Amino acid sequence: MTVHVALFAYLSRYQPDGQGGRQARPVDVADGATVGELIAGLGLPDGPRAVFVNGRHAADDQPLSDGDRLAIFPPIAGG
Amino acid sequence: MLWDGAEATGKELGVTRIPVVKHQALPAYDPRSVQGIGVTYATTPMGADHTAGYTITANILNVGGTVDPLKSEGQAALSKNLQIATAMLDSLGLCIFVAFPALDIPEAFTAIHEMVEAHTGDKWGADELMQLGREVLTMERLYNKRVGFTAADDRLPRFFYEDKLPPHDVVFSVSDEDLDAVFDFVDETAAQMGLK
Repeated sequence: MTVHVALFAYLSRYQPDGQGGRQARPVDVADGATVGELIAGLGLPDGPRAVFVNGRHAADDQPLSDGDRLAIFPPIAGG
Repeated sequence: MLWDGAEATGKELGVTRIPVVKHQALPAYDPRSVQGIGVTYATTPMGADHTAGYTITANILNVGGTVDPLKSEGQAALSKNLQIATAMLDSLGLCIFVAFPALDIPEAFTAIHEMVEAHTGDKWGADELMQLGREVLTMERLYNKRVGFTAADDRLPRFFYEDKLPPHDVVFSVSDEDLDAVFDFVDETAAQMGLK
C-alpha cells in the first residue's frame, strides 16, 4: 500500500528520494504497517516530534491505511 | 484603508466574517482546529493574541501535557494556566519561548526562580511566580473593566461557532461558562492586592 509522507523542517532531508522539501511523497509500505514501522524505515533520528495521520495525532502503534497522509515535524513554534 | 486594521477594513468592504476579538485581528491559528488557542483569543485582556497563552503546546506539540485540540474539554484550564505563566514570563523580561523547556523540564523552572532570587535578593518559589502572573492579569482585567469591556467581549466572532472548518468539520465549541471561568481568580487576587 502507499502512504503519503510529509516531513517538515530539518526532518525533510530524510525523505527517501533525498530531495528535501515539505511536500508529501508517496512511500510504499507493507499492508498493515504501523506509524512506528514507517518511521523506523525512514531512519528518522530519535527526538521529540509531532506525528499526524490525516491531520490527527497518531501514536507509533497506529496501523496505516492505503492513501493515508503521514505528517511529521519537530516541536517548532512561531511567535 | 488597510492601515486602519482588519476590523475597519472588513467593515468598509462589507465583510460579514471579520476575525477580531476586542478589535484585535486573530493570528495564524484557527480557533476551531486548535480550540485552546480560541480560549486565549477570546479572553486575553489584550485582544486576540496567540502568545498570551500558547496552547499549541499541549494541543499540537504534546509539550506540557496533551489536550485534544478539537474538543472543548480542558481548554479553559489549559489557557488559564498558560496565560498566568506567560504574564509572569513577560513581566520578568523573558522570551515566551522560555516556556517550552520550563513546561517539561523541572530544572528549567527552578532556574527561573533562582534567577529572580539572585536579582531581587528575596525568596521566590513557584507559588510566588505564578502569583505575579495572576497579579499582572488582574490589573489588566480591572483596566479593561473600567474602560467598558464586559464578558460579552470575551467571545469569538459568531462565525467560528457556526461555520464548520474542513477537513475535521468542527466549530468552536468551548462554552461561554468555560470562557467566563478563565479569570475566576481576579476578584480574590484584587482583594489580596488591595485593589477594587
